[in-house]
Amino acid sequence: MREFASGLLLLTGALFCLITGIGMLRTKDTYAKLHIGTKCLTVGASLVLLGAGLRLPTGLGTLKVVLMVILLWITNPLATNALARGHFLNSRLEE
Amino acid sequence: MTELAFTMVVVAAALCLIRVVQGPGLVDRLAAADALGVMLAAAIVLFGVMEGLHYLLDVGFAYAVLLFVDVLLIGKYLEKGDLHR
Repeated sequence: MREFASGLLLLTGALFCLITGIGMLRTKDTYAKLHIGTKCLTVGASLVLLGAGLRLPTGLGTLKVVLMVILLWITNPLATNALARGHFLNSRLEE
Repeated sequence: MTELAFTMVVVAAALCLIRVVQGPGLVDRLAAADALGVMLAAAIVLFGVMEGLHYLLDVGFAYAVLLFVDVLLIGKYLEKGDLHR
C-alpha cells in the first residue's frame, strides 16, 4: 500500500516536472515562463519529494522531506515574484 | 519506479538547460535556471532515497535554501540596479 502510494506520487510529480521542462522550451513570453516555473514546478517538485519521503524507513528523514516541501511552497513563489517584479520595473525604466 | 521518476526529472532539467543556453532574454534564462535548480534539488533527494545515502537529504535542503537566496538577490539587483539601496 505504501509502495503504491509512493509510486503514484513519484510518477505524478515527475510528469509535472516534465511538463515544466517542455513548457520552458515551448512558450515565447517571459511572463509565461515565470508562470510555468512557479505553479507547475512547485506542485511537481513537492509531489516528488513527498513520494520520496514515503520510501524512507523512519521519522527524521520524513520530517526533513516535509520541511523541505514547506520551504519550497514558501520560497518558490517569492523568488519568482522577485524576478517578475525586477523584470517589470527594469523594462519600464528602459522605455 | 524510483528510477523512472528520477530519469523523468533529470530529462526535464536537461530541457531547462537548453532554455538556459539559448534563451533570448536575461529573465528567460533566470526563470529556466530557477526551475533547473528546483528540479536538481528534487533529483538529489530522490537519488539519496534511491541509493540509501541519507545525508543527501541535507544536501538537497541546503541547495534549495541557497537557490532561493540567489534568485532573490538577482531579482533585487534587477529591480534597483544596486544591492545596497
